Amino acid sequence: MNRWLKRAALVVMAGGLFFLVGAGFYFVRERVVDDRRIPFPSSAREMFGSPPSSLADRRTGRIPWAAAGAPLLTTITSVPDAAVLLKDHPETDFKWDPAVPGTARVTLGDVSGRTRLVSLAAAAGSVFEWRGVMPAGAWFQCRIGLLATEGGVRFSLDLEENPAGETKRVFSEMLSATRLRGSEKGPWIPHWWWSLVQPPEHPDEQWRAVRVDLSDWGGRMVRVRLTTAVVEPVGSEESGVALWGTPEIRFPQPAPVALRSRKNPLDLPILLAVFESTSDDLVFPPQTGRSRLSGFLGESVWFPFFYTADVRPLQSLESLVFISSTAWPEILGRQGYRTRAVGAFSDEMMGLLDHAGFEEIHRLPLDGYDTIRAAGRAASWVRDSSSAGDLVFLYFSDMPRGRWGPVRYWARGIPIGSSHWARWKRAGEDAYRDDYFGRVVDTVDEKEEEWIAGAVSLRGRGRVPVPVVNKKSGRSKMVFLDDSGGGMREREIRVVFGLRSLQRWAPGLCRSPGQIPDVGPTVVGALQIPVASERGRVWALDKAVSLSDSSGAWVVRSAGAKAVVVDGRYKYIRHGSRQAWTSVRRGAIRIDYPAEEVFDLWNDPGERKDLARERRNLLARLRDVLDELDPDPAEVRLSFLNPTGRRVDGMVNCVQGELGEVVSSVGGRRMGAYEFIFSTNAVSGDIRFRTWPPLVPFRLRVLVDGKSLDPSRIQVGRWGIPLFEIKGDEWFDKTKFGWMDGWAPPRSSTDTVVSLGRVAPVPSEVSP
Amino acid sequence: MTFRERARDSVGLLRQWGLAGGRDMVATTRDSFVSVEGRAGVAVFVGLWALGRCQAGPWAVWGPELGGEIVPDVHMGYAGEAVGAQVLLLGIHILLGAAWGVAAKNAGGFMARVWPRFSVYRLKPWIGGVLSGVAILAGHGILLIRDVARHPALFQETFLDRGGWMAAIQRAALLPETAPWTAVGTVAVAFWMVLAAGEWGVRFFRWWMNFPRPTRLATMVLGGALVAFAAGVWGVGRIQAQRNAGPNLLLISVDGWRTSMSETTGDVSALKKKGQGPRVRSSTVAPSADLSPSLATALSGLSPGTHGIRHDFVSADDRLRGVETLPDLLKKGGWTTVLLADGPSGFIDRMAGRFEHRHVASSHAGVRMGRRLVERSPHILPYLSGRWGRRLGLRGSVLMADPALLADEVDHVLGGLKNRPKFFLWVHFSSPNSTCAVVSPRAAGRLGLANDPFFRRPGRGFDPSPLTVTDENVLRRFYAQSLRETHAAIRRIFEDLARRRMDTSTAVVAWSPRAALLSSDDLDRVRRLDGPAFEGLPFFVWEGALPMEIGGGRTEGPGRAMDVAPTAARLVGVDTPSVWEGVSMTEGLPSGEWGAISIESSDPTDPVAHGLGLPSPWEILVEDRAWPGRYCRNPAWEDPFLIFRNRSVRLGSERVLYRPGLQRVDWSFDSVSVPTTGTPWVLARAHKERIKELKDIFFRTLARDSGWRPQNDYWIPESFLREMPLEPGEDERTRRRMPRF
Repeated sequence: MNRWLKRAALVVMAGGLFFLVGAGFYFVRERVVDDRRIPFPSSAREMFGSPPSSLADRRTGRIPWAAAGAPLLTTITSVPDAAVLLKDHPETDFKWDPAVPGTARVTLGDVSGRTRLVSLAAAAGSVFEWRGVMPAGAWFQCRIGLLATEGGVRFSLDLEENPAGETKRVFSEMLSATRLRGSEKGPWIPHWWWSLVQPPEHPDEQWRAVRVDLSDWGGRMVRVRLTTAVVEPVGSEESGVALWGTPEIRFPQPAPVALRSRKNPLDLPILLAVFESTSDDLVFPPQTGRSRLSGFLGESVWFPFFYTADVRPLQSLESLVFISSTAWPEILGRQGYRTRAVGAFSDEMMGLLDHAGFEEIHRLPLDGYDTIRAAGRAASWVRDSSSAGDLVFLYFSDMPRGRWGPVRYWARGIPIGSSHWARWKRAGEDAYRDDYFGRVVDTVDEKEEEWIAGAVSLRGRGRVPVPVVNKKSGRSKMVFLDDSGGGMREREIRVVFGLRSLQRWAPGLCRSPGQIPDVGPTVVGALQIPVASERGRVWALDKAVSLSDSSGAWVVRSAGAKAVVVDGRYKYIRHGSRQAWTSVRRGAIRIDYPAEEVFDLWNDPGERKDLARERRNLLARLRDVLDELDPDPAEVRLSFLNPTGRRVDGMVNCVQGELGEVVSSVGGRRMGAYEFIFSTNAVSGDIRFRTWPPLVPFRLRVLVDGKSLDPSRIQVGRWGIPLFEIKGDEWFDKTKFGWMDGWAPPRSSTDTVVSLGRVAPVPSEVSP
Repeated sequence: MTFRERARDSVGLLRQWGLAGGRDMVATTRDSFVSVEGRAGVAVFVGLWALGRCQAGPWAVWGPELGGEIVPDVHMGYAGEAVGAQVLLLGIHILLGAAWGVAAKNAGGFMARVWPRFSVYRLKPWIGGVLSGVAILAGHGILLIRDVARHPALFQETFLDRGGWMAAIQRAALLPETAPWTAVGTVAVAFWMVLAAGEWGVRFFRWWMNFPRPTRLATMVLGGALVAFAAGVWGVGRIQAQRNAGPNLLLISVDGWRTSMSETTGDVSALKKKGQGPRVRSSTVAPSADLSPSLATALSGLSPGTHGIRHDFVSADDRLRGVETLPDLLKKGGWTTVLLADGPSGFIDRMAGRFEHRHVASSHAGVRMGRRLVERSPHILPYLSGRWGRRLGLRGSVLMADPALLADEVDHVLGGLKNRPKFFLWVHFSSPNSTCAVVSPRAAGRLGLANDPFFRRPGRGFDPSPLTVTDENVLRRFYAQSLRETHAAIRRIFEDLARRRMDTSTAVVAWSPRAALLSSDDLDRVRRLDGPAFEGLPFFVWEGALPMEIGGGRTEGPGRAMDVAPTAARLVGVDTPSVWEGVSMTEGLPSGEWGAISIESSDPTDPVAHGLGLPSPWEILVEDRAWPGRYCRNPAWEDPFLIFRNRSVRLGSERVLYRPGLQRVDWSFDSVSVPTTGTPWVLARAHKERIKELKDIFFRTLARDSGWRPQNDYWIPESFLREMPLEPGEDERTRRRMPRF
């Protein structure tokens, strides 16, 4: 018996050892990011490779083929209907560009991710032609791709010298669709197997980089033809789409004129590094430290009191790139800029950047290696950039859950004074990201030409205690959650922003508060491009002052709360429904912020003392500010009890705005866009209406048997207190309906009573 | 033998000695615990623990001063702690039983030495066990009966309220005829312990004598030298210690003190310090009927509208945080600040943080639950009901707030403070408050079993329910006895001051934050904001032999709670902050608007009857976000409860009374200078202008509370707090805690 027990124990121990070794191996191999696997900057295999040595560090011009209004672009063949094919390839997010016929925005894979390009799209057999005088020393470059289920297409570049000269093929390459079709998988192989072995990204549909030297035709009138020809037949059910991604002719360009008028726009290349989040160490207090980012900010015009617009990355990114209905990258694109973005973007971000007019969007998988890959691509773009007007938009996302940064950064990231492990892990990841950001900046510094470099984060990240309630026991406590942002504390909503130009303006601190929508106008303004911004403000970086009118209030939003900072001093936070907060820690706890908080940031920078109860006047004012800047949707609910069946006439009149949806249980009539009347003998009734804007004043009158209802019979708000006064035949309220929040049912009475209050709209209950 | 070898041998010898002694000690202790007597004692106390669990019955949800508001939550939120506490209690019972068993074994051993035939080991083990168990049960029973007679209110829940034979035990314990027998039994138990101590002494002596004489001699010399050295160090420290020079300040607050009851207990102002009567003798007006607002007002010199403490369940985010209070002021001036309090109050726990040294009850729910569990364990109460028990966690029980015990503590603390240059000591007596439990053994002894015996206020303690005439008489009698004990404790504090020669350097302020409500009339008058409950709070100042340059003369007249701190600061010559609203009562109350006395009622305690549609104040308590484990009022309900408070402002002989209702505000004005003819003079045309002025003064006085404004005669916060209403998906417990709309 003992012998068997010993054997069993040995087996168990061996199994445990095997498990431990396997788990260790798995952790080191799969969970820990090993940045040494990825060369930095990106190898030539990923990109076009280095430009011809003769053109290195020389300024180049470009003739984009796909831009609207490009000269001498002729579309010879229209694109066939590829609806079926595109439906089968949702990952390409194929969208026609209505501004330029024949062009579309398409996402295909590349070596380490996916890239969205403005492309010429055509069926096999189509020809695109460009005519003109070929610049001296020019070359052609683009990415080619094929969207097809089967078959192959040959991509060719032909040159024909005018008039009717000899046609010479200078480039030819065939792309084949190698992806297996579902029908060929064999019925005996289960579908789940294919889902396991075959990633959904269709790896065969990739961009191939093409660069063709055209310097032999310099100074000659030529026709350049892009031809696609079917080599292997494509399937009968689907049509193939051949793609020429961002085709352009590049050529050496003479140096610009040294003297520039202030009114003339500059075409300086720009690098903007966008961090999904940055640690609060950088802004509390704002000081330069050991990190490369803080060093970079020390060389920049640094805005230490800079707020995000939304702690959610997507919404914050939207505020960053859209300065009005137009995005500032699109404005730069119109100025001839080549706009490229790289990072681990989500699907929504891809759509947003696409809408913002980026010419190339390089999407990397979010696996921890995206930091080095994105930095590598950006560095190679900077390194190889030789044209005026380049925008490199580099996005550093946070390390995904379950991944660890490279080991060599773990020790560098030990936070002084805190040993919280999540903070330590984050600090290591920050060090990893910071190192590669520094390498990109080094690449910029190595360039001889002038660059504008900037760094901005979409949200802050700090060790903020969060009040929570245990759902089972109801006990309250304060915990530190790694998923911060919901508390709208300064450490969560203050971000870093700095713009550096070693030649144009001196480093400095701009202590005036700003916000992320200011980034775009400030960048565009620095290029002396006139811009009309509806959201952000333009900052004069040489003087560190705002050139726009300032409202003095900054609104910050999150999924469950929004806040307003007034004059940089008072902050008002309005937290939303508690039901939105049940997902943390497997729903065991519920975040339990109070409904409203007020902080005095000058006297209480740590935001420990909530003034909501103490400073009631201030609370009322801040509520007004937030409601004016970002009003909550609300509707007014009017209920009445009429036990004696008297005639009740009512009128709602909103002449300063308009009346929205009205839901009435007693009928009634709309009188235009701003008036609603009803008349009834019902014993009870309920009317809900919305106004637009939500807090616009409105007139309300209730008559009982033709006489105004006594104000004491009007119960207002959640507490049902008669707060109206009467003047003549109208009620008025000195408080501008300040305490109308909430609604209570009218209390039973022998006479007619009305209850009135403002309630949150319930969409399902509001009928059109 | 070299010195090193000798040293090594000595160390080895000491090591062997320690090991042998330790083994011997462990072995003898183990033998004692597993002996027949020890096992019998453990069995008895395990049985008593089980009996106590049955005896205590279901959790009774008493009023907040007995921790009633936390009971539903501690069942949910502290389930693990509750089980753990029961295990701990069982362990304590086992230890107690084993200790009794050890005592029995040792006492028996000593008797066997004296009388060899008296040995339990001559009997069969089970007979010996039974006899030991009976003896232990008898000994414990005697102590229990004695403590039941001394602290009847403490045992009322587990004996008297249970009825039947359990109630008969308590009644029997309170019979005058029982007292001699209890005394005899107590002496017998004491004799038992003496016998046990004798056996311990004999065994120690034998152990000691087993050592060789040189060792004993050396140990005694060495030990004596060590003791002499320690005594020398201590003596030098004492000689060179700082001496108290003053001026000191002793602030005595007595919860429930009222001048209108002085006829039954003797004039409180007759308390004399060094033969002096009080320099200030005033009847102050409470700013609120609740305890915490009054304490905060006296602490800060601010009115409740300014400091923001408006009820007893304040949040940690109250406004007092940024205010410079009396202890802050004195601490800055070099005073050592100490707070001693014996009763339950969340706010006392809060204000204790402002003192350098404090002995107060924790208001944490876990601690309160533990205290309740001990209160419901009748068989360990006899061992914890004294001053040791208070130090072990029973401090804060309203049933244990014995003034004599607090006076003991004050004496001890004064002994330490004698070596501090100057001190500020705040002593808070909780015993004669509205619960009126009989907590003093002497008071219980005087009361005995007269009338129907109950020792706690009738009702559940949540709402001041109407009292019958019989209840009122009994309450008054209890109150009188408790107050008598409190006066005795205060006298003893004065004697201690004199004994320690600090009476001439110590100014004493005695004040009451609120009056006890002893009759239905008191309750009605509290709602009407008048009567002794508001206006008859004693406020006395004995300045001792402090220099008279503090100015002012002897003052008699009305005062306010917010004048306590300025008066105290003035007595020790400290300038008060300009933001304080109170004035020093050494000069008396100023005239005009500055002397206005503003008071407000507590929350509508019977909202349903008043038709306000508000829940009970106890239903809206939630765990404080910023102070977990403590309870505060749900912020969503702060405003409506404040809106519907009655308020009054008195200006000399005139008074404005504001009573908000659902439909309108009822105003009333009265003045002693205007004869009442049956018709409210408010209607008199001749006084309309004055009424308007008084209204303006009323709203100006209330305007200290920022963010509030008049609207339709209501006094309304400009912005209601927007706590979230009830939402679907909330569990039932949270639903009970959340506002109901």
